[in-house]
Amino acid sequence: MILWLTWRNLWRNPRRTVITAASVVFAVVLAVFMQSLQQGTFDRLVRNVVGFHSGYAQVHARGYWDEPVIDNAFPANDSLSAAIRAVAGVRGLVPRIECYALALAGALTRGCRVTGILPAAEDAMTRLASRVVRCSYLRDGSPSVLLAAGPAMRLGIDVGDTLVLLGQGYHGGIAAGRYPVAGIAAFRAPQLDAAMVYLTLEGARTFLGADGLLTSLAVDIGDPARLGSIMAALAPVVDDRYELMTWQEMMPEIDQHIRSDAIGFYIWTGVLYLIIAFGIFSTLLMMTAERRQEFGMLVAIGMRRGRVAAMLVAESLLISLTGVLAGMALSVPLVLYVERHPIRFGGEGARAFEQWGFEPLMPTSADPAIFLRQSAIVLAIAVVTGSYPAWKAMRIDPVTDMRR
Amino acid sequence: MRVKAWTQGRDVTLILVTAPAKDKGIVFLRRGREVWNWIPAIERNIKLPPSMMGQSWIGTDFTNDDLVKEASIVDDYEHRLEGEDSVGGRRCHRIRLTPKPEASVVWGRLVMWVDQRDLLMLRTEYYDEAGGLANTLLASDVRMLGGRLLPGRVEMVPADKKGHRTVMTYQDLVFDPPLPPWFFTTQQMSRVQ
Amino acid sequence: MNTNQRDAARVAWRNIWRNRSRSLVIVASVGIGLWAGIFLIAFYNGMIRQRIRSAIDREVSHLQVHHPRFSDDHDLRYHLGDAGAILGRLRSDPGVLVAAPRIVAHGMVSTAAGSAGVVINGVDPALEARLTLLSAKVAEGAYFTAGGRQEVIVGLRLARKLRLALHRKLVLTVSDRQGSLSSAAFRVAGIYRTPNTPYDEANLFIRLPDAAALCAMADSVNELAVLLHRDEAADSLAAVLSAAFPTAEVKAWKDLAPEMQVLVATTGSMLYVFMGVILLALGFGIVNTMLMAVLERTREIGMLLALGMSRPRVFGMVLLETFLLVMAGCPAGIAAALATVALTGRQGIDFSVFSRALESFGWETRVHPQLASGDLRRIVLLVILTALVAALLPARRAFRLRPADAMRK
Repeated sequence: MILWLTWRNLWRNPRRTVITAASVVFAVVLAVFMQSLQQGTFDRLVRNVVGFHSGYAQVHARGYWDEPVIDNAFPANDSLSAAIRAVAGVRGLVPRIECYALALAGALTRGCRVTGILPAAEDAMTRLASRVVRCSYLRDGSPSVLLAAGPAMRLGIDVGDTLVLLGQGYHGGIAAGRYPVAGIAAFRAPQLDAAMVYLTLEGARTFLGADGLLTSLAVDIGDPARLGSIMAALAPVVDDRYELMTWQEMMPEIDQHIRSDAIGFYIWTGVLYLIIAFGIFSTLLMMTAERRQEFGMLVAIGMRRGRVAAMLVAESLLISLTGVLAGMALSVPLVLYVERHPIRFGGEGARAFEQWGFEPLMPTSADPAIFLRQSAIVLAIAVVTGSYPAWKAMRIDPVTDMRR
Repeated sequence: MRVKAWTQGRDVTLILVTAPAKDKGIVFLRRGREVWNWIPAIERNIKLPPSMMGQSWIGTDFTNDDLVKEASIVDDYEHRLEGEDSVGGRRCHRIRLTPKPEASVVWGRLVMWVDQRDLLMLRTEYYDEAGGLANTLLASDVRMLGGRLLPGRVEMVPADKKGHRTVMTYQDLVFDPPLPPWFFTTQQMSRVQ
Repeated sequence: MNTNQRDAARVAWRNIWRNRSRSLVIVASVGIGLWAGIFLIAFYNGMIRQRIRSAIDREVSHLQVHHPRFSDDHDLRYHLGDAGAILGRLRSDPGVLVAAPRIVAHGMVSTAAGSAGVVINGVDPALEARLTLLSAKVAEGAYFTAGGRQEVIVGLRLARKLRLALHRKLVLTVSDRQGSLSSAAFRVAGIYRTPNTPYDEANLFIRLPDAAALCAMADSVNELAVLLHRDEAADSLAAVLSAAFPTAEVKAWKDLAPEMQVLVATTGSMLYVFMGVILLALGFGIVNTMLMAVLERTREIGMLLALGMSRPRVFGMVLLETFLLVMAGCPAGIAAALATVALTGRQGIDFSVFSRALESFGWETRVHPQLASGDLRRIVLLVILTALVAALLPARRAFRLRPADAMRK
């Protein structure tokens, strides 16, 4: 009975209903869009940062992170690699062997960071091949070296010249080798103070006298929102001989920056909710004022105030639910569109981004949790503000209220 | 690993690695505080920068820095005779070496046992400042080498790396061989046999 | 104003008072919108300043001066020949808060437990304390005691790695200005800590004269770091200095900490979008409210039209109503915003209560909202503009009303 009355009431004045519902719809769309834009942009930033080198997570021999020396390398383990790849959400596994060494050319020497890579796997995660500006990327089995542009310039060498590497190998032996330069890669990030030098995995192993060893396995994942669950799934696969670290543990300063930025956005989102609440409230306020006469009449002809209130609550619930559902439905194509066509920003910020090789884009995130969470919040706001008409109804005085 | 080494006084040393094949031909030249390294595989002669001085010397428990530290035993420490002990069946003086305040040595103190009769250093213990034993240097197998009585076996045992030790055995020693004056130079490094 | 106009105005005014709650809602919407907009801009400014502050105040300072080849190759050969002159010039500039000379050398630290590559910073303790608050970062021990000799301050992470404790000895080795190896022993006077652990691990601090002795650089330095009163002055001072001393390389903080730019850029670009979203929400709220109002008064408007009031006048009347309400909302909104900004600006908003994971370095987690000049004006204009645009739709609705239909309701 109440439901039927509610429905009829709502459609008696369609414009009013539509306007009220529209404010809920709009609220949902805005809240979802804002949240998904924020999450999408930060996810993209994290992807850019971890895609640079570290990957979302890494597996090392236990103790390697505290003492990153070649003697803490571990033997490549096919079953471990297979087990990691088998975890849902893992997009790629990048084996590496890394060390510090001296790079020499002519009379000049520079400290450098030597990384032995599997060219294809490395490129899949870090897009290393796309950074090559001169000549070519490394190929499997190549005896050559890929050098970062900065140190190449400082050492005064170019493609075709020979680079000499000297360092301390596995078990302390001398590591020395000469390598033709196959290509030069541009790393615009000026923060990389040690020169990046890439050898093939086998080439680096020969250099270090470290057959069959790796210093790290970098894990690439497809959907950053699932990092937590993926890590939980990986933990049992990686036994005590190894340590599994997330990018937050490996780069805590960046994690901290992103977290504190995120907190700032909670405040902004809070303000948005306030404005939304106010928007919905204002329509309800006016609707109540407008229907004052109607309520007065209902009470006068004998309807209990409680019933009137209940009816209004039902109306408000119905409008809120419909509004939220419609809002969700509308926001889905919007979010999907901006995900595929991110907002491009310009100005000084864009230049900073490009300097690092990042694109200055703001995509949205299509994480379903966002839709649900924001809709739930807006629904809560709508329901709470919707209790105002009911509250007003409880205080109806038929005599005064029926008067215009 | 086999090496040939030439030493002149306290300041100059030339070391040539003759075995294993992987490292054969590597030469170290130490003059005073500087160390050069010739590596045939890359045909380069490198003066070791500070960052490499702390690294292990060709895989042993000695560091590159240890190559230059010889003289410091006398100059950088205060010496005090503490007593007597028996080491390897020989009566030894026990000497305590305390680093001078300005000396650039990392040790808190050293304890050295020197044979009373032949004045051979038979044992040295290296302690950090907290009093923990860091390294032990042992000399044994005293015999005639090159006409002089010297320990034929020197062993370095680090305290914190379980099971590691570096053993040097002297096969042959020649004193005062005729050497040209340009022998201990960087140019010579690539030619030494 | 002629009679008709006056009538319209009077009707508008009466309308406002006749439906107090509706009017109040619009006034409040505008007020809240203004408060939100102003506060957010101030908050954003505060966030950016905090980011920049942490980089400038604690690490890179506003400007650094080196030999042009020093950044590439940290050889001690590349020192500042005219350091004295540059320092003099800097100290005479009123915009400069602190100008400190340093000797920076890449070398090795050895202890009984091992060795590691480090950056040795030879500093003037008093100046450095003002420049990077180094003295405040010391967590254990003391900061360069008076009369102390060969003292060193190391980072916590390095101390852990090499098993260093207070008063323990370490040996620093560098390749000095002539290229020879030089070593000296130092004792740990204090252990410092920053949120940036790679920095802690790589940097240690000794007195400038000790560094000069170690590096055979008795008469010069290779780095000058400058802290200014105002961040904005950095670029212009850098330009002036470069022109005055062409043989030196002057870099501003933006180049010294480029990763800062990336993080600032992300936040900045999102600000525009968020402001847009909030203005949209505000605008929509106003449209809704006024539309409801117009629909509610359909009959009355119809009557006015029938009585001869021209359509444009009706349009104008609705617009005027909205405008008056918007204007009424402004003072309250602006006042509230300024009050909030002033209050939080002084106290700062502490984030550590929101996240346990953030390091508990008090000053790092506070944001102090503040308004830059022009911000207030811009936001007020934007909000008013939004409100008026929002008012157009209901006003148009009123414009298109047909008296016959209206009267029938």
